[in-house]
Amino acid sequence: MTRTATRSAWGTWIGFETCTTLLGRLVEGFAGPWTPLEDVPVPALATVPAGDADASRDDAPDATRDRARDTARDAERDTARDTAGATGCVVLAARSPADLRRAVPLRSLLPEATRVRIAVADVPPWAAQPLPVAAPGACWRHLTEMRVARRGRGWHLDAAFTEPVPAGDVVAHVARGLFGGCEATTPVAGLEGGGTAGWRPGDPNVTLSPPGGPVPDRRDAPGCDLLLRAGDRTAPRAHLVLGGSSPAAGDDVPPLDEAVVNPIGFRQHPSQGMAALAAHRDGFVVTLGGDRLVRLPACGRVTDVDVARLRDVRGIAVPALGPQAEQGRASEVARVVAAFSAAGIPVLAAPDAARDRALGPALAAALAAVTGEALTSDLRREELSVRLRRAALREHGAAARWRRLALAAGLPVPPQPRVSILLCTRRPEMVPFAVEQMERQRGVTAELIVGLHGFTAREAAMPRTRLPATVIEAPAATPFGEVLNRMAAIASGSYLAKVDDDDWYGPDHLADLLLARRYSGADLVGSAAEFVYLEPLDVTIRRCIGTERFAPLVAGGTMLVTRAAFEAAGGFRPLARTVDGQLLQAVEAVGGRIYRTHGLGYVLRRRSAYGHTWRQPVQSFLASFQEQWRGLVFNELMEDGAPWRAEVRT
Amino acid sequence: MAGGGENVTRAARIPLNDYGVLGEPPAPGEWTPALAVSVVIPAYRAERTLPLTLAGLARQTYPAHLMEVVVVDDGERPLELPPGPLPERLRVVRPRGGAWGRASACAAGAEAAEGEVILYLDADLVVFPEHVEAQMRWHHLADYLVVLGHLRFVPGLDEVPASEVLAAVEAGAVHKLFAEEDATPQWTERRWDQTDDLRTAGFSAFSVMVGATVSLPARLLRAAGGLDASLVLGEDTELGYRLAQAGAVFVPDRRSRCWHLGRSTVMRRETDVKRHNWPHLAERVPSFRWLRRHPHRTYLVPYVEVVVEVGDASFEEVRATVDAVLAGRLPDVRVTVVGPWGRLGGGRRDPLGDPSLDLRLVLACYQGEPRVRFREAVPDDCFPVPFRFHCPPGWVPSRGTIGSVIKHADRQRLGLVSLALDERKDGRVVRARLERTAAMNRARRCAGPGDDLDDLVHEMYGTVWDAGDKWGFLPAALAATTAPPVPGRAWTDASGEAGASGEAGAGRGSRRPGARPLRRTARLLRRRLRALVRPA
Repeated sequence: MTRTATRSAWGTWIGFETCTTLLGRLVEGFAGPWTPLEDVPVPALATVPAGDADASRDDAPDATRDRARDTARDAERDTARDTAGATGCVVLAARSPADLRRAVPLRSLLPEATRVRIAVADVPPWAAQPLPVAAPGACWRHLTEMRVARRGRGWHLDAAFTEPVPAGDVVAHVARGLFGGCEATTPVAGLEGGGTAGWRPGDPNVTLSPPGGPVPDRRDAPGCDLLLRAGDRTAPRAHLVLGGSSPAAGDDVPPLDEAVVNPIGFRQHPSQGMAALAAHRDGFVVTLGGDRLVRLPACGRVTDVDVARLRDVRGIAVPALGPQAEQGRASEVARVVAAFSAAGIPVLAAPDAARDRALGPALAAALAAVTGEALTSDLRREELSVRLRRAALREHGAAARWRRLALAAGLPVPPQPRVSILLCTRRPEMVPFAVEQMERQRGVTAELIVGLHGFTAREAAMPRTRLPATVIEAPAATPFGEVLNRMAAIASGSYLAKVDDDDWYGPDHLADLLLARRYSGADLVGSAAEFVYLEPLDVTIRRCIGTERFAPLVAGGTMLVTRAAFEAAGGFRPLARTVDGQLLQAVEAVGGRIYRTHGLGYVLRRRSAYGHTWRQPVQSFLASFQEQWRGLVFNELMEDGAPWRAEVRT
Repeated sequence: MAGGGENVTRAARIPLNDYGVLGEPPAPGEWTPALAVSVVIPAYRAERTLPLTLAGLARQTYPAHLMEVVVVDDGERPLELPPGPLPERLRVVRPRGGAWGRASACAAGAEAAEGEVILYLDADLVVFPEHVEAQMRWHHLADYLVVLGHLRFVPGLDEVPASEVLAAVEAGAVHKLFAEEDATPQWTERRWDQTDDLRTAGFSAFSVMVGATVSLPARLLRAAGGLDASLVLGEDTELGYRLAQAGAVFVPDRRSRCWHLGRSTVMRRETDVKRHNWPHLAERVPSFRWLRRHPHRTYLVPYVEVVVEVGDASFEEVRATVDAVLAGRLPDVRVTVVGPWGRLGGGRRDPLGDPSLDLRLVLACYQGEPRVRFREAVPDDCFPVPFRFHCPPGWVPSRGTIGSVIKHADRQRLGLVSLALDERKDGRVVRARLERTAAMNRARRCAGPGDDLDDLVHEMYGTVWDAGDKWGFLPAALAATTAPPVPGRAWTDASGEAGASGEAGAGRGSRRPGARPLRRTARLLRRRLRALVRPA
């Protein structure tokens, strides 16, 4: 290992724009020189002599080459080897996990080497460990030694191989280990040069093209569906080319990487006051009193490490840009504001027309609702935070953005994934109430599977609903879990959502779960049963439950699970009670991840009379609560459950 | 009494002592008074200053037809009315039956008074023309306000000639008599300053009530039981306490100004006054906890009344609860056991087969305990006891439970604390409940027909539900065998369960001697630490 390191090492970094001095001491035994990864030239296909070989390989694919990726990448790899000579060791320094994800689409720029070292300088406290998830690729077959070590606030990974392996593959697998299996973003994109990597973070399935050059083709297929062209070096603009045809104007602000800029780690009770965003040199700083919390580069990119440092502030005040500021600056401020919003950090923004245009109407409206007074209350602050993150992630999230770009370019997009709502009840009188709670869900494509447990459809007044509904009946003797499994078997959606018949759901409940599923990459997401209405006492309490984190327990009436994870876990156990807890345990046991999102869209009803599947004594709910209200009280995200107030006394 | 337009304001719901919800009172001279006021002046050895006080009252801006002045002559010899200017409607009364002292005089004055509002005024005050009007405008906003005038101490008549003062009063130049900055403020004024004129004073607002110039509705005074004539000094503080328990709100008015001629007794002999008043107040004002440091004794007015409703509980269950309360760390409690005692006849019966045996045993069990009393029904309220704690039989509070719950209610400024103990199969929740007398009485004052008292208390003070076990409540059977972790150990009658758990009792006996001194050490340590922090 040491032998290869001394022979020749090639170092590259990503994300150290604001703190290049950090690089010197970051990687032991490697002092430089360092190359910015984004500046590594994309080899031009036409000039590569291996072009002939490409053609021949296309015609007659041989077995050894077949397991490798597309032909274009092979060609680039050859070039890299040419330029860097025989590289013994590749060193990649990433400032944060977010930067590591940006390196993934650029993986073909990394040469092959027998030793690959990846240093992540800083990670947020909630981040996973950088353990590579081995894809059935070639590189790990040659592994001789690997070391993953904690270094300061970050991690170092050092892997040695017997044969030169593509370092980019190692990077992609480590990123996959850090963030789990996030869904692929469609359509397949072509990126022009390294500077546009921020548009497809974490996506290994992109095609790089040299600036101005043609998009290299893949085997038997065009290189990409949509090509992103860099405008100029400092502020890349999206110019979209459909299959090499005419370019169309795109948005100014690069999309947010949901996997890193997201509400994970949100603090319900921040310990610090209001911070402020200010311009600093050519970039930005966030200050709290006299302290500089975070420095941001000129392009306005925010990483998960920056978010982690801002978790304890109550909010961030963003002043309006001065009149001297030009249009370009507004879009960078917009990028910062969108990122903070997506991270759930409330932004108190002074009105600014140019910035709000770049943010889009939904996010601008959510921003306008933020007031300094509202932020002083922890509950109001969280409500505003949820509204902001919804708008930001839906408007600027990479998945949503690329979907819109594809639509604008006239490409067909896959349909929104469907959620199958599993509603099982033993009480005919609760059916209309429960169906109405699901009826008002918005922002999702859903179908309703109603299980009547112990009575028939004739005994229940099944209300008319706009949702496609299927009703199944089961005798009372069938175990509850078995009924749910039968309901899941006829469900057609890619997600299964279990709901309870007597709880209250905010209109964005399912949409929020889907959003949480996207940014967390978890197999099962749910809310916390933070708000509980105690019917025997006529009080609503807010319990002390940590939210926006990976946790083994979520409220049973809020579980949303991917069909794959549901099946991997073996479905519900055929028991009469505690089926929810058993599913959670099973999902975790087979290696699935469970994420608990905010609890503001759900109010658990604790009834007075016996008859529910599981009961916790009413006094135990009072053992720890942070707030209490007299009567049934909804927070603002429940959007006034008042029409259901009358139903309480059923 | 109430005019047509007043019905709306009558129900003004004032949270704690924050009378700011009433809005700004009208400026003097810009409103139409409707309520009649009786100014009651207890006069004792006030021959020199009373003429000046009366002269000031003769020049009030409040309409003369709505104001009468009652001078209560408390002197050894009958009073002669001075020749100077006098208010239009003036009466002089004497306390009956040889009663003497300020409190008796005030009581006699209130009895003679005909107005809807009574304004007590000392006989050594020189009042500004707006003095009465400024106080009266508040009484038109709500009918449970106690309004305090604003006085400043100035040199007495041995330094300033009476004629000069009289001339200033007649010329309408009272404010020019003395410079504001030369006058000495009353000790209460600092508290006004600290608490935004008592708006944030909370439950302790009553302690600044001083009888020199104060006005209150006559009905409120009667509801609070009038003045305690057995007190010779400190009667105003004691009345303030009872008014607070009756739900009153204390409003200081800085525009109701007056000069106090000479220094007050409190200023001249503060130590002596405190030495005299504190034993009296300790008996009657349970909220002054620092006057009740004794670990075991009881007082005239207990701090908490604990209500135990027997219902269908067994003798053992009732005894477990009552015993636990009596063993608590709060000694000044009164336990009211509610049951159908009248049903128990004295006739011939089977001693062991009597269907009412449990009731008889409860009655017999506390014959010699002065802190336990028996009632047929739950009393409407426990005025002037500041707290009432409903405790279901069969549930045992730990030694510290009641005290901690009250502390919690004081810190969180709550009117009601409900503790959920258990849930029965039929869905009924077994609960203990702490009621603040002041809050319940104010809710009664504000309640219209169909209003729920708890709702009103919630609006004005706040209510909360909590878990009983968090505060040290245990079922009697469990408490007999285990010690709760917080806050303090349950007291159990070991001899009662002697047969059931002999060895457990022995274990407890061996543990106690070690545990008790430690607890005392902890308490002392806490107290010392608190004392260290306080001056900072």
